[in-house]
Amino acid sequence: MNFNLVVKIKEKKEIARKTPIEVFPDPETAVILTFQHVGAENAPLISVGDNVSIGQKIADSKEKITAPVHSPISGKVTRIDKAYNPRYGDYTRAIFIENDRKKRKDKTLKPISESELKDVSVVSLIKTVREAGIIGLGGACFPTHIKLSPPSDQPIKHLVVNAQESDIYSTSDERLIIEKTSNILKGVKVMRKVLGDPEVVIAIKHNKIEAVEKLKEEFSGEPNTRIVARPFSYQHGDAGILQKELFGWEVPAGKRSYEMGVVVHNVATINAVANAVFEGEPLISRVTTFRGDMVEPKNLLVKIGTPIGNILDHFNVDPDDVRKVVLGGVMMGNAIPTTETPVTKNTSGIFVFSKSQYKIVKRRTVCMRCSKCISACPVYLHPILIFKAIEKGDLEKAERLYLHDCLRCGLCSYVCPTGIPLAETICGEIK
Amino acid sequence: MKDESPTKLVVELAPHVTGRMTKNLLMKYTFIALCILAAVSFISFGFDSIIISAISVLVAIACDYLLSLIMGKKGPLNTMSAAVFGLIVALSYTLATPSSPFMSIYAGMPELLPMEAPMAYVDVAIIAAIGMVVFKKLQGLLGRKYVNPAATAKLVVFLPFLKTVLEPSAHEMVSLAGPVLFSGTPDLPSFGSLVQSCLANVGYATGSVSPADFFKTLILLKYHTWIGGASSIAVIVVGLGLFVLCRGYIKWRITLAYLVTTVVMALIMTGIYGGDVSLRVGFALFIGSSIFLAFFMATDPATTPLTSLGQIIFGSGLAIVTMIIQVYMGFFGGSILALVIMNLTVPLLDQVGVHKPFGRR
Repeated sequence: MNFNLVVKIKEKKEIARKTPIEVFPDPETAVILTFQHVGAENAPLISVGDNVSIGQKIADSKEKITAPVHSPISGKVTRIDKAYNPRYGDYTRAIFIENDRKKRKDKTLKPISESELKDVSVVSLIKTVREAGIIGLGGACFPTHIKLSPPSDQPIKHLVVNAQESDIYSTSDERLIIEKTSNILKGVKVMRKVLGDPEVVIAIKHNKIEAVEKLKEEFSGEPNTRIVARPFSYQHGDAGILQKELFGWEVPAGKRSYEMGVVVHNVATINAVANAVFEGEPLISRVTTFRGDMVEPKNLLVKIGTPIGNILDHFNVDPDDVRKVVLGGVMMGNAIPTTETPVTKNTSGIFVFSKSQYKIVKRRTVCMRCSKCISACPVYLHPILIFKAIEKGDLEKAERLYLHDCLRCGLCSYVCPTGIPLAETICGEIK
Repeated sequence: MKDESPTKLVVELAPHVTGRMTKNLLMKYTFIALCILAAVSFISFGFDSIIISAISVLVAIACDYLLSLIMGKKGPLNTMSAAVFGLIVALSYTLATPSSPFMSIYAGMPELLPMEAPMAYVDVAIIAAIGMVVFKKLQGLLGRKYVNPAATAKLVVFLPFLKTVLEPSAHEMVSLAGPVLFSGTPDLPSFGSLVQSCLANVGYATGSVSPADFFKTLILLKYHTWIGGASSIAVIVVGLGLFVLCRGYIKWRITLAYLVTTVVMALIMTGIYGGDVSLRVGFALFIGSSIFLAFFMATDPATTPLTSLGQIIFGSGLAIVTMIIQVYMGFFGGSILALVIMNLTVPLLDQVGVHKPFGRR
């Protein structure tokens, strides 16, 4: 019995979705965090004083679940130090590279042409994806080559392309679909080959009108492909919730998507795969949405490693007026303590809150027991009960209420009328 | 690192945006809804109802202010919440319940007395003050409210009267819901016997009014009910409007479960005792103490269950207990007693409805 009304979050994308992607100039100094993914931490492959070229692998690990990082610019390694890592909320190792503007390119990754795709082995494609350092760009940061190599006894029936981009302000994926449709088709073809020709389901919110049209046009010749344009809501950005909407099943707890015969990939990830396979370009740049109340909305193609401060300077944002900067999305992203923080692989958006825009809307008071957090939770948890258990220090009870099933979507805090930091507390406990 | 000092940035955990709904806004919406009902009651009761509402709201706000001075941080000023509470007290007040001096109730007053305005003002002020001080602020110190302040305050004030209800010898009809006029008024013929046929466990014949007349009084204008329930149609329209406006912040499952169960119970009662089905169902649903309570008192967030299943059980239980109190105890308007009883089961119901999360069901 479940009458839960789905919480609708109003999107604010009208202008941003019509703003073409702009190429942001290369930074003078790039700051490359060595640990941007889920899995094992990388060790640097270069040392201070070395010259590196564009796309050169500069850090890697021998572990299975990892993704190497590459230099986005050509230049000289000035130091290996620590920089703020928004994903881990801490200062972690980073490689600082000074740009020499010579634009030397590294040619380790060998591009192939589209006609060669059918002759290339699956193993070498997966290796290319791994070497290109591609991770889930929707925010999960899980290395893509792992997701592309499910156990051999597990057939994959559906490849879901997640084109939701459910955060309130982000438009980078939408612009990517509009401007790089053919590239995405190429990426889908690669993934199809690797996964054994599954059905392709592209899930996209119906109000991305231009993107839906482009996709329909481009994918018209692709066999066994469905474009599902529905009024999806914020919750459907999650792979599990999306599967329930598309196929009607709930992935049992503890199982991974591939065990259901499904692999879900973000469009930005697919675009990166196409770049790696057909252009020989590792993941050294990404499209990101740059928004704030003092600037026009922008969609930027920015080099990974560009300090956020550079972007603020470039668009003449007064640093004294900046109160808060959030990387990722406003619902799940991370606020950063310093603008020296670089753009990372999962920086899908940069959101700047000015002093006037930043205000505390809700003052925290006692719970009024409206039970809205319970009906809002997309995975049917009881946020307020978990919160109370954590507050009392009763972690056992929190576990019994399935604390670890939390998606960290933030909806409970979003809907709470009394300003109780539900998601903040629960996510803090999961870490 | 750099010459200039880095910008001071706020670091907070996600989410970085929040919905527009706040407790205060919810209270504002509720207050507006209740104001509409108070205005509607003017048609039935004239200026009395307006004066009563004003007195109640002012007393509640004054108590809230005074207590916030005394209690300081433990009882912060919450004017909007106090105003809503005051209006609920006024609208759940029974114009024409035994509003006569307390002493005379102890002295064995007859249970049905036409309301006298000046005493009603005093009664409402007492209910509002006791409710605000004892059941809202002091109960709030427990960290959580267990019983509905407005309902409990009313019960406490009418406790002497309740005594007669609970005595096994008291078989006559007792009313906390309004005067059951056996004699009739000029613009409304007597329907006392009709009401009894709807309520009591006997299959009475209908009285001198037709069911159509009776429904008209139930749905449009009433002289036998709570102020807030003067017009059942108004309560339903305003209540549904509030539900839509508040988008799931009000526990609508309770109202739905209550109304459905009430219909079922009324059908069962008709099955047992006979009588006109439509009359009994209509009466059980639309009487002011039922419809106003279902939309505005039973949904009070603080004293109701958190989980969906708990809310449905709560609403159904409320309907069953109300019906039993009305039929077997002859306690007309006993829904507030039922509400307080059900409120006390909430800690249990909270345990019942805990459901399994996604992927574990």
